[in-house]
Amino acid sequence: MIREFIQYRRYIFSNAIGELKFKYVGSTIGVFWNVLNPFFQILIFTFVFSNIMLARLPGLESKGSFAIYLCSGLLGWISFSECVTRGTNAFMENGTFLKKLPIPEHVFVAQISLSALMSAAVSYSVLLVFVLVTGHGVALTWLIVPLSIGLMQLFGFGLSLFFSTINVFFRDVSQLISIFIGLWMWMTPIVYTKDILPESFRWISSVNPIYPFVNSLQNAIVFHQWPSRSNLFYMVIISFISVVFGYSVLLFLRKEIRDNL
Amino acid sequence: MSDTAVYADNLSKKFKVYKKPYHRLLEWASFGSLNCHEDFWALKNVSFRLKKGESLGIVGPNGAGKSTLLKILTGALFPTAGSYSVNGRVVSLLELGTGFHPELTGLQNIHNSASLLGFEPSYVEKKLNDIIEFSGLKDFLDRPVKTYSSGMFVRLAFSLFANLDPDVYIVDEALAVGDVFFQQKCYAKLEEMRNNGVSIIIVSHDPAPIVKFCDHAIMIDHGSIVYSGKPDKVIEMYQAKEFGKRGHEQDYNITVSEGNIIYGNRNCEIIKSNIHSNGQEKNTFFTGEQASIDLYLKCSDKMALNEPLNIGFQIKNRFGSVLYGTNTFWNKIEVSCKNRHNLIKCSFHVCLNLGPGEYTVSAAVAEAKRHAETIYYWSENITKFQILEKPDSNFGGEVFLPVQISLTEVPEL
Repeated sequence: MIREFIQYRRYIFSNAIGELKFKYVGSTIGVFWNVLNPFFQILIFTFVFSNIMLARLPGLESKGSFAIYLCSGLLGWISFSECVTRGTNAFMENGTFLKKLPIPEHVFVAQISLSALMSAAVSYSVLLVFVLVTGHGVALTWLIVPLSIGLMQLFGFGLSLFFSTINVFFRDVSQLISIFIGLWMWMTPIVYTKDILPESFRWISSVNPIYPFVNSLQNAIVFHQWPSRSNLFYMVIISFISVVFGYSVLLFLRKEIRDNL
Repeated sequence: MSDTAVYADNLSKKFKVYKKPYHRLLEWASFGSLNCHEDFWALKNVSFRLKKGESLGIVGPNGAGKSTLLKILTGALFPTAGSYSVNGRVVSLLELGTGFHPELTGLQNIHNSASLLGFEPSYVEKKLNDIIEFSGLKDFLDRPVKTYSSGMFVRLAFSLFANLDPDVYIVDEALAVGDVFFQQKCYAKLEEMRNNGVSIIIVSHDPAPIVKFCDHAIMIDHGSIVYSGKPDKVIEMYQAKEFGKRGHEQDYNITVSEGNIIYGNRNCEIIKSNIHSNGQEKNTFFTGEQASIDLYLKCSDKMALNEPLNIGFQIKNRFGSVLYGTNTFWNKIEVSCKNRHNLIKCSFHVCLNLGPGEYTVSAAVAEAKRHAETIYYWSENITKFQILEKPDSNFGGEVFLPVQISLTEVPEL
C-alpha cells in the first residue's frame, strides 16, 4: 500500500489540493473561502455561546471559553465526518477510473482523507489565530494538535476503506453512514461536556472510538493539558487497527469491486 | 520469451450476477453455503501471444468480451482464471480524456492524467514538449479544459497518450472520434509507433485499421476466440458471421477454403465465376478497361420457381473496404428461377476505373428485397484481379474519376 501511495503521490496531492481549490471555483475570492468558512463558524459559535446562550465551562469562567471548547472538538469532527461520508462514496464516484485503469482503489480514498486533513489543518490554524487574537492563551500543548488531527484522519481513512468497499456491493451503506455520522456526533462530547451526561450514559464516551481524538484536542486547546498516556495509546491503536482492518477487507474483496461498479 | 510483448494463457473472467442486492447479503451471511447468484462467463480460455513490435486486431460483436479482455490486460480487472503477462508499460486508450478535470488547465491535466496512469513526473517533463507540439494547442494550455472545444479536448488527450511511449498500446474504438485530418494524424502516429517497435492491440468494428495495421487478428464471440489468423481473413469471417446473424434462419453454414468464405442457405448457388475482357479470361487490367464479371447460378430443389432473385457483386481493395457494389435489384432487373435444369448466367459489364493495385470480387445471390434477410449464397473473394498502371497515367489514388482541367486568367478575386 505504501509503495502505491509513493507511485501515485503526485496524483493524490494534486487532487487533494484541487478539491480544496475547486470547492469554491467560480466565486470571486475562491480559495480564501477555505479560510473564511471556519473563521465565520468560530465567530458565530463565539457570539452565540458567549452572548446568547451564556454557556460556561466548569473551571473556566471566561466569556469565550465555551466557544473555544466547542470549536476545538467540532472543527476536527467536521473534517473527520467529511472524510468518512465522502470516503464511503469514493469508489462509486471514481468508478470510471477504476473500471479502466489499473490504479489502486485506495488512492481515491487517500485523496479524500488528505483533502479533509488539509481542511482540518486550515481550520485549526484559523482557530489558533483566533485564540491568540482574543487573548485566551496558547500553550505548548498546541503541538499535539497536528498529531491528533493526523491520527484522526488516519482513523477516518481506515473507516472509509471499509465503508467504500462495502458500499460498492450494498449501495445503502452511504445512506446509513450519513445517518449514523449525525448520531455519532451527538454521542460524543463535542457540543456538550462529558460532565453534563447522566451517570448512566457516561460509558458511551469510554467505548466511543472517536472520543480519545476529540478529547486530546479539547484538552490541548482549552485546558492546556498534554494527552494522557492511555489516550495517546488509544489514538494510535484505534487508527492503526482501522487502517489494517479497512485495508484487509479491501484486499479480500478487491477482485470483485471493479466487477460491480 | 523475451520477444513476447503480451502473453495470455487461458484467460477467463466470471462475473457474478445477483438478481437482487440482498442476495449477496444472504450469501455473505451464510458464509457462502447459500448460492444466490448466477455465473456469467465474459471470457473463456482466451490464449494468444503477441510479439514485440507486432500488432493484434480484435473483432467481435458487441458484448463478446473484447472490452473485458482489454481491461484485464490493462490491469483494471482481475481475471478469474488463467494468467497473462505484459512486458513493459501498457497504456490504454480505452477512453480519451477519462482523467481530465474540466476546471484544470490543459497543462495541469497533462500532469494529472499522466500521474493517474502511473507515469513519473520527471518522465512527463521530458515528454512535455512533444506532447504540446503534437497537440498544436500551445496557446491554450493555460486555459481550463472546460473552455476547450470537443475537438481540442480530443487532440490534447490523444497527444498525451500517443507521446508517453508505452511498450504496449491498446486502442479501443477511440480513433473513431475527431475530424478526418485528426484521424489521419492518429493513424500516422500509430504507424510511427509500430515502426518504433511498440506493440499495438486494436479493437475496432471498422475493418480498415485492422487490415492496415495488424499482423494478426482474433475474433471473439461469447467470450471465446472463435477464429484467429491473418487480419483480412478474420475480418471476412467476422463480416460473414454478422451477415448470417441478420437472418432468421440458422442454416448459415459457413465454409472456408483457400481464403474464400462462403455462407448462405444454399437454396441457390454460384457455381462458377470468371472475369474477362471481350471473352478473353484474364485478371490483370489497365485502369479504365472494360471488363465483364460472369456469374453462373444454379437453383436447388428448395428454391421456389419464379421467386424473385437479387444477384450482385462487390469490389474490395486490399484493406477489405468495399469500393463499389451493385446488384440486379438496384438496377431494376427482374431475375427468377424459371427452370431448375438450366443455369442462370448473369454478366456485369463494368468499366474498371480503379487505381493500380490488387482488388477482390465478392458475389452473392439473395432474396429480392431492399434489406435482404435471406441470403442464399454469399462468396467472399470469389475472384481477384489486378490493375496495372498505364504508362500515360494521369492520376493517383484508388479510383479514377474522369477529370477536365480548364485554365483562365482572372484579374482579381
